[in-house]
Amino acid sequence: MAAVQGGLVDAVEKKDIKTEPSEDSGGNNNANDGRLLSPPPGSSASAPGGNKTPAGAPEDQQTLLAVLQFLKKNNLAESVEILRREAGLPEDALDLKAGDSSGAGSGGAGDTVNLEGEDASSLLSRVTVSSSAAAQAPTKAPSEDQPDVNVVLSAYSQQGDPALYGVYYSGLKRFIESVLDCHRAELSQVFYPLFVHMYLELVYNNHENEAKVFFEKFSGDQECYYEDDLRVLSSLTKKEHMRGNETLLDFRTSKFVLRISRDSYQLLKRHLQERQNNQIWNIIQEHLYIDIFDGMPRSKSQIDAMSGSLAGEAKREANKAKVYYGLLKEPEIELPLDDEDEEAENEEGKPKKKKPKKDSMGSKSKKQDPNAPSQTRIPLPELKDSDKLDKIMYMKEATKRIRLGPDNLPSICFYSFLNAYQGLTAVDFTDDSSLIAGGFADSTVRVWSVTPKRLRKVKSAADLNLIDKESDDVLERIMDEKTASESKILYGHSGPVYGISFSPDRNYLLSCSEDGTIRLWSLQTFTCLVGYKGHNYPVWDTQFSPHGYYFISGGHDRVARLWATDHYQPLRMFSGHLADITATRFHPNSNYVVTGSSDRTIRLWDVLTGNCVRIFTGHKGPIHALAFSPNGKFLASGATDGRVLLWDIGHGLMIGELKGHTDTIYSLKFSRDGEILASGSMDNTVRLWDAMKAFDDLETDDFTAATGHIHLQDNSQELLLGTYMSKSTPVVHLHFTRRNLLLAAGAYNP
Amino acid sequence: MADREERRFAEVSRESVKLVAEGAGVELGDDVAALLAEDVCYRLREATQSSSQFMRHAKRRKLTVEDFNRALRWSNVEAICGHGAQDALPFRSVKEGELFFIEDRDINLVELALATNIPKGCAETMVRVNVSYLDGKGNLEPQGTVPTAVQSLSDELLKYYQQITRAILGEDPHLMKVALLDLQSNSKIAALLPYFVYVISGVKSVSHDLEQLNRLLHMVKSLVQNPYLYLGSYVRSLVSSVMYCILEPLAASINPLNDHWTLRDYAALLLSHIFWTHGDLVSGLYHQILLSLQKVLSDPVRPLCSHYGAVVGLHALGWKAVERVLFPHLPAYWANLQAVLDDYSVSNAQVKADGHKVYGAILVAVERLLKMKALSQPVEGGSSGLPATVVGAVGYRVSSPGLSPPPEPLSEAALGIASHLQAGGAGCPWEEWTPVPLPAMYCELYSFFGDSLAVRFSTGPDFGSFPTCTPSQLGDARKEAPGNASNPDTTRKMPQLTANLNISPRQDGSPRTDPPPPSLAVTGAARALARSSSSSSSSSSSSSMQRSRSSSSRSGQRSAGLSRDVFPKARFTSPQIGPPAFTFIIGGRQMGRRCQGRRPFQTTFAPTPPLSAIPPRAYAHKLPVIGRVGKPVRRWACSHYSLHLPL
Repeated sequence: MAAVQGGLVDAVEKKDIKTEPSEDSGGNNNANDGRLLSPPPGSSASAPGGNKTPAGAPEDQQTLLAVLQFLKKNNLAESVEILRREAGLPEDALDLKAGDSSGAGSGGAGDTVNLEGEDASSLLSRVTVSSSAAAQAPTKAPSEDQPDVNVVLSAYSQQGDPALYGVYYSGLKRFIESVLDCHRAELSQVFYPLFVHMYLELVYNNHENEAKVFFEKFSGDQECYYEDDLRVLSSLTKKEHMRGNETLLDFRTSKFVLRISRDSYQLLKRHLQERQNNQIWNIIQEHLYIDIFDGMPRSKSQIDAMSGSLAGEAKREANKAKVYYGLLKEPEIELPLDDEDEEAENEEGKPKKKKPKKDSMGSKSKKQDPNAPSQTRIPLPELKDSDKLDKIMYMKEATKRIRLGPDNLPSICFYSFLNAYQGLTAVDFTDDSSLIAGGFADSTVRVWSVTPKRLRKVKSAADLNLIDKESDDVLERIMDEKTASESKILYGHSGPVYGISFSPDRNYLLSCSEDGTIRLWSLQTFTCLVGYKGHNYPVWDTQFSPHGYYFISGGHDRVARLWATDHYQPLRMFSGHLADITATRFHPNSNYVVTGSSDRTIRLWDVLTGNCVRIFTGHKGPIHALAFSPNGKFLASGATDGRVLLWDIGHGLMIGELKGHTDTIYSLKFSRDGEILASGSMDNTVRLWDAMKAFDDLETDDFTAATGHIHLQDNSQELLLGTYMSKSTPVVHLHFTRRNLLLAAGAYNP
Repeated sequence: MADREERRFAEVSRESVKLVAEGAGVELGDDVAALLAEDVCYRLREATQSSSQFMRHAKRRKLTVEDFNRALRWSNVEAICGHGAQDALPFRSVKEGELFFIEDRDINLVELALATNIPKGCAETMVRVNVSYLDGKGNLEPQGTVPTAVQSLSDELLKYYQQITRAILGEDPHLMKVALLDLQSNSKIAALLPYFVYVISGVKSVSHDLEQLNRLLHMVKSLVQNPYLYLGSYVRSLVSSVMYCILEPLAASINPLNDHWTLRDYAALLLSHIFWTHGDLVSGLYHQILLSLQKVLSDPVRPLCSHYGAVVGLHALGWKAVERVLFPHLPAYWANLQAVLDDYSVSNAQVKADGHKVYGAILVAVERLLKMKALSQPVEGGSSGLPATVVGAVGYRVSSPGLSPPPEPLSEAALGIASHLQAGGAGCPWEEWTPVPLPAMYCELYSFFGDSLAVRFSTGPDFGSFPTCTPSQLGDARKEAPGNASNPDTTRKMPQLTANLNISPRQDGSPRTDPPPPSLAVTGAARALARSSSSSSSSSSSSSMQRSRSSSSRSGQRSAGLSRDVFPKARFTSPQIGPPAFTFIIGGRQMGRRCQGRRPFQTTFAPTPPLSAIPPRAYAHKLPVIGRVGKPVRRWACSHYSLHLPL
């Protein structure tokens, strides 16, 4: 697992470069203020003066220089040359800087440029630099939040008196406990990141025993939802262990984001300055990003609702981008909706019937939804005749659909996988509910026909030659009747199959596996067509776009990839998550994808630009289930914490919390009209929630989209419409048929 | 490491590292070992952490070895093999050395490879659908499990139920006692009765676990004894559970070390208790119980432990039950039992031991029968006015033309019961059964058990009672016979292996002069004489195929006692034919169609030294032995000596 690092560092680096301007706002300026006001102790008193200089210099250039250094160190001369040329840097820029720094470094001046300029070969040795006053100065450098290679590799070399850490921490604790109630909740957010970073600093500087004492003393104060991370932390007591620990890397590479009102922030700042508490102040500067807002401080419950993620809350800026969440216009379908039964009727009845029906179906799609992306925003495959036929089938079924509601709950059919011996890892239904597929831990994928129609293969090439291609029933003739069976097994993977997805046209099946590949299977020949290699680590989830052709995958390498079935390389790579991507879903309009991760955040990505347009925090565990509402406006997510959270995509807000499940939620699904949300969990239950009500309540609410501070009512019990137990069968998948019958699936565990 | 007060994680000690290093041939210093140990711990924690991810994605709650190995593989560490077994490995300690290890037994691969019971492959993975909830309401009914069924109960009751069942089925014997006591006296548990009954019906699923069976039986007892409970129709269910313990060849009986006999005894006692206290709640319960006991007893395919159960069950139900079912059945059964007891081969040792158990049980049962009968009708013994004696019935059979001596040796009445029982009450009414007089019974029993019978009557006069049959009685019996003989089995078309014993029709009164039958033991001759003298005094002969068979299979080792060979083989040895000839016919449909009356093949067994002292076991071997051959007893009624061997 450790090997992820290398790739990840690059990824993070790129991302940071991109987002740099935004980071330079609020917190950053404050950081500088603070720094000026509080001279650091010891011989490095000259640091602030030095700091100012690089801060003024164009930061992009510095970053580039750092990258150049890195490349040079690794003897990538060509790359250095290319980058330099593209950046328009003078050829001697690098050398100049280097020379500069070496001079300054030897002079012992704590200039930040030092750090950037210092020979890259010393980067790693810096890690082991002993705690001397001289070393302290340069390491202050990262406090200027230039995310460069140096910072990533050598954070925490900062040094204070290890014995005082506890004193500092408890001092702050006392202060926060003494402030006014309205500020206390906000300021308490600081505890966890501070605790983590102080602990890591202690460990990093080889104060093992102090670290242990510190941990013992204060770990109990942390919010319970950080338990998992604390467990990882506590297992880490040696500096050597820090290398290659993913969780740690997350802490070091990303700033923990806090949202604090201006008043509270001022309070904290004043306190720290009065106390000259530089140790804490430095950590706040270096590792925390404080998103300051004007207005009322938030309450404890408001904060709790949003926190819990690995890297704090999302910055407000992150959720500002416009999202076109509307649905695409339904394609016009020329074919008459009425067939057999209506054809039997007389001629004059026909046009009459046709008109109103078409209106009722098409009225919504006629007018362009203002929130919808343009029809051609991303190229979508053209509809084939068979697709149109399917659409017609869909509409016909839709007319027979049962209108669900609190008084009219769906019937539930349970598909039990028998004799699966704990091996069932993924399930999917086709949209028309005619096929069910299961992914198993023994690397197989099995497909069953749910209808009496049996699964048949296409005849072999030789046999196909003999067929009369002109005949009307050629599609029937190409099938080999001898191969008809109720189920088919697809062999090909070499590890457990963690995710499967049918293509909308039912011709293909996708499966992703622990072996790092995603495979595309043909449901005509029941053979593997393509193996997509790109994730070098287990792929946890994959899904077809609702329009086919594209698909999304995400896995242990923390990168979500967008693929097209006819490209063996990904079209987009979405990086930004700080831990494994555990769930991936396509937006109904195919323009966006959403990913859930073990870093306990959900990110929405724009397929067109590849940007992350939404970051949702609030879950307290890895997210294993995601579902868009059929109108594309809302998102539901379920996690190991057993809670379902509802999100408004347009406003980027959490709008509901559904509590009730006692174990990981593995499946979420909205009914076809979006009135009911069904959730299936490891606790062997299916629960139905009143989604209409959850969303309606919101719309009447006067929520403050600007600050993003929502106040959630605890109305889970009102929204819960029913709890349905299975026979010791964890619910792995849920599906609403086109007529709103709920299908659930899972493996029976006797 | 030792100074850390709280251990958050499993830790590998320095010593362990050193030991492992030594094993690998490396000497490690203390500090190196300490460092290594700590690093190992950390790596272990790390691997555990990442392995949990695989567990989560496999949608499981249990972390498997496989998950851990995957985590290792992804961190470029070799996977650890040999721990993939599903069962938990026992973790053992050596007391002296403070050494802990996982027990890892050697597996005999040769044995495994040559094993004949190759396990069947796993069942096919499949998908089954059921409508779980209709319109969101649906079947909240118990879906096979009790816990869901109990949902509808109030919380207190639910808790009580859980506590009680847990206590009774749990490990703590003290807790169990308390729970049982409470179950016996609690007045408020009527609502829980169905659930407890349900739990008890779980006996079928724990038939491998004597302890659990015992506990369940105790639970039955407590419920039955609870004065506040009206068991109602649940009696039936309880009885069937108890009967299961009595009669079924429990999985636990496979191991001879398991004392399932006690369990059966206890269950039988419990059965009688239920019957005597609650028997009135369900009509026909008595008959049903007798029916099933009889069924088991008459089924030679069943293992001996089942037969044992049937006998103790009958015994527990009282002497009348023994008289009605066991006694009439005894001769038929005796043959089979005898065969088992006479088999001295090593492979038979276990079965033989079981056979002795059955023997003992029968003995106890009949002794009480005799005692009770003697008490209840002290005067009747020896009186000659009894109707329809055994002899009479037998007499009829023998005198009937053809070569079919009666299959049922005793009375028609006995046969009547049997057929009644077997036909599920469709036959003649229960009341038709006529008791056998004590003397006759005693004679009969004495013939089987000899001096083992603890109850003593003089045997002499009893014999005298035999010839008391009058022809008219015989005639009555004869009339009855066809009804009984019209057994559906006669028309059976199943292919069957028929063993025919060819015996020339015996002459009345002739046996005395007959040469001793070949199968007869030396001592048998005298007995035969004695017997035939007594039988000759009866107007018609009194013998039965059955008995002769049984005596033929009886060993000659039995010490002399005239009455014992009441039914010597002599009766079916004809004066002309020396050795009886067995023919085995494969018959059935084929015989009916093509070779009517003719035998496709015929095998004659000529017992090798016809007149020598070779014990009758020689025949016994050819005859069906309990547990090996299908239902001979019943078939005799229909197919004339034929032993149905399932082909």
